[in-house]
This record gives sequence, structure tokens and C-alpha cells, in this order.
Amino acid sequence: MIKCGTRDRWTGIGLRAPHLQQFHDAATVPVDFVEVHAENYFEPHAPRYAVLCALADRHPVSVHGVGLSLGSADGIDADHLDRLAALVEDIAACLVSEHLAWCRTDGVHYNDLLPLPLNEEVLDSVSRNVDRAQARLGRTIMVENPSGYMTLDGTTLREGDFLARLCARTGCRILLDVNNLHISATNIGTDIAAWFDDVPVDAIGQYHLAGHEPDAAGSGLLVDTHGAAVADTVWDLFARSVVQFGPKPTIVEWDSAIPPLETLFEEARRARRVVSVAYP
Amino acid sequence: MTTLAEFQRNYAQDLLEPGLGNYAGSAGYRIHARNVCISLSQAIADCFPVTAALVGESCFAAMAGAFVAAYPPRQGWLSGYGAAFPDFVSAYPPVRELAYLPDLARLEWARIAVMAAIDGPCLDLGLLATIEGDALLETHLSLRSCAMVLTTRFPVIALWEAHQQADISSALARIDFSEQDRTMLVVRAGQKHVLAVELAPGDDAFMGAVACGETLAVAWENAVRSSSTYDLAQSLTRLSATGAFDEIERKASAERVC
Repeated sequence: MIKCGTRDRWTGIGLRAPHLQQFHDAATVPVDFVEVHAENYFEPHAPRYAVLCALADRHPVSVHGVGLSLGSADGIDADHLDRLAALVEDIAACLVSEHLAWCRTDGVHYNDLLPLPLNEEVLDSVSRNVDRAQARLGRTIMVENPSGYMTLDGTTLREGDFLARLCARTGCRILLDVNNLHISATNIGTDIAAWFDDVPVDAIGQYHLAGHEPDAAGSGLLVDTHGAAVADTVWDLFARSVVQFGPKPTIVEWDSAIPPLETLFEEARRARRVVSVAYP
Repeated sequence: MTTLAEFQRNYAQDLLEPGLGNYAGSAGYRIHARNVCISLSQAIADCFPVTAALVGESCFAAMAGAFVAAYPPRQGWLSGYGAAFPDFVSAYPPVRELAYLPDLARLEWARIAVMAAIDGPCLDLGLLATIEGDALLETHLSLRSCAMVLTTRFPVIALWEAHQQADISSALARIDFSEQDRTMLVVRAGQKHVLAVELAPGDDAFMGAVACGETLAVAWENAVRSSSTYDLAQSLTRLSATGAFDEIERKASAERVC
């Protein structure tokens, strides 16, 4: 059995604007930590920033970037990185993560996690960007596996292999989004067994869980909407992941059609139960 | 072999508007393109709810979509995205007949902008009173970062307020839609509220001069020219109570006293 510390058993929720004040005001909460999207807190004078800082005095907060564009050939935007660094420092973030994706080219921000062909050139490029981010932040970050909707010409590396080598080169770790891995396996045939074989046990630093839905356009693809409860197949894959990589801080995300806070708490409790079965 | 930079430029080609690029036939690509357009349009809709209510859902969706395609964000965070939308609305042909709409959108954006600005100290009127004679007249008041002065010919504050009521139709029916020059002050009021008021005659000219960086003497002169009954002391009390004025440095005022 893999050794795990107290923090490895943490379960929490993605904290979004509709629940921010309620969570802040709650006397007790049934989660160990929360995670916020970094870019929602890039205005340090906005009211929500003060609420987050007050909340961070009482609860560990993880910062999850969605717009740094680690996959950009153009490199990382310095202003973006500075704002991220300021937030991470202000709230003493317990974890910092971003995505294996890009969202900016030629100065335009597309606000989506766009796919990358996985090959040696891209590994060089992403490694440079991760190095730069880590140097500015003064800490290691975690990089999340994306949800795949299409295979791209120019891909020569398996995702697990790519991520493992990224970790070896930069010292970063992997945020395993279990829902994304399930979606990629379903949509583009990502081999989960190979992914598990490719990734060293100690490379995983955190898990994400979220809901998905079928493409409303009828393509038959699964879409990472974060708009539903975690699917049973994803819970099963989470249980396999915990056995394979050990318990790690786990966040349940819900970003569209956001339900009451208690529903999110219940999902986090379920995550804790899954961990407890594998690691009593 | 295509470089990463070439791939990204190529991939981005049809994300904002449907096109005939290399990926046009891919269902997966359409999911990404839809995510891009919907998330950016939603960011605009979140900033301009009353503008959206006034033109209706489908018209606003088309207008926001056109804006997103023409002016995609240049920053990886969206809190500042929408500043250019009011000007876009003013030049958007389908809503040209709604002459008040761009100013209503400017008011909505001002409300957002002041809430994101630093909520620093306000002018201490008592400190201003310690400055004497010519030094006082040469003093420059300035607006706090979280205060904005806007001008319009339409009752857009009343329009915005009507849309906060349960019975919007009745509130709209009570609005005097006559066109006249109006000066609006929008100020952040703490952590939760924004004060948006139309300024009285005299106050409007005074505040307009302050916003342009004029001295107290010029602002006073403009105010008197605008309203023959203008009273500087009452006006300063009224306007400083809104929290619009930035603090003046004690050191600077002390130097002037000396």
C-alpha cells in the first residue's frame, strides 16, 4: 500500500461565485479545502477578493488556473503570471494547478482549453512554459490532463508518457482529472491502462472529479460540462486511480447549472468514502 | 512538418466564427468553437443584464456574438472584457433606433469598473477647510479611482433602476424620457453597493470640471455659470458625501496654508 499523509486524504469542492459568501459565512463545513479558478480573482480590489482572503484565513485554498495557456507557442503572458503569483501569495494557496492546453495565440485569448498535438516540440514548449511559471511562483505546480474531443495530426506521444516526461523535466506534478481521462478514453480512445502504466505513482499530486454530458449537438461525444453529478463510471475510475496512485487531495467541480452547496458537499463526502474503502 | 505556432494559428482560424478551415468538419472542433463563443458571449451578458433585457434575448445574443467575433479578449482573464462593448453597441445597426442603449451600456460598465477599482480614502472636507484664500481656489480636487462621471441625454439611471424593480413595466411608465443634458456620477459605495446619481444643475458643471482636472476656482466658475443659485459650500458638502472625491494630502494642504 502507498504511504499517504493527512493532506493526501483531503477532499473539497470547487468554490464558485454563487457559493462564495455562503461558504465564507458557514460556521463549519464538511470539506478539508476548496479550490477557486485563479482568473476570477485577478482584480485585487474587487469585493470577492476580500471575501476570498478572509475565507483563506480559515480554510486551505487551492488555486486552479484556466487561462495561463501553458501550451502556447508564444510563451506565457507576463502580466497574467504576475497576477497569478500575487493571488497565490495573498491567500497562501495550498496547491496551484493549470492545464495541458492552450487558449491564446497571436495575442487573442479564446477562453477554452484547446488541444495540443503531443510530440517532442510541444513537450519542449510546454516544459519551457512550466519552468517559467514555476520560477515566477517559486513553487512547483500541477498540470491537469485535458478532456479530448479530437485526435490531432502530429501527435506522436501518448498522453501519460507526455505528462510523465513533463514531470521529469520540470519537477511539476500531475493533476489527474478522472472525468477528463474517462472522456478522452471514450471520445478519442485514450488507453487508460497505458496511461496508468506511463505515469509514475509519485507523479500524481491531486485528483479532480466532475460531471459530463453527451454533446447537445448529437455528435455522440461526451462533453466536460461540469454541469452534472459525477457519473458512476467516473467514480469507478476514481476508485481504480486511488488504488493505483494512492489518495491525493481531491476536488469535486461543478461549473454550470450549479446546484446548492450541500449537493457539492455530498459529492465530496462520496469521494471521501471511495478513498476510505481503498485506504481504511 | 507544421510547427506548434503554425498549428495554433491555423486551429484558431474558425473558433470565433464558423468557417471552412482545416478543422471545420470535426465534431470535436465544433465543441471547442462552441465553448469559445458561448463562454465569451456569456461574459458579456453577465456585464450588461439591463442592456440585454431591453433588446431581448435573441437580439442581445446576436449583438454579443458579433462583438466577440470582432473584439475577442486580449487578456487571459475576463474581468476587464466588455469595456469596448458600449461603443460597439452605438455602431451596431440593428439597435440604432434605441439611441439611449449605448449610454445605458456605459452605465452598466461603469458600475462594474468602479467595483473593481481601489476603494481608497475619501476627501476630508475638514482638511479642505484648513486651506485659505487663493491656495484654496488653486486646489485641484480629483475623483477617486472608484468614481466616474458620465454624460448622457437620456434617463439611463432611471431605466437601470426600473429593471431592478419587481414590476418593471410600471417603473418604466413613470420615467420621463425627455432628452436633456444629464451628468451622472457613479461611485463605489463599500463592498456591495454602487451609487449612481444624476447631478443637479451646478453640481454637474462643477463635477465635470473636477473630472477634467480643473482647479476649484474654475470648477466653481463653471458651476455658477451653469446655475445662478449655485452655492459652493452646499455643493461640496453634497458631492463629498457621495464619496466621489479623492483625499488631498495633508502635507500638500499644509504647504499651501504656509
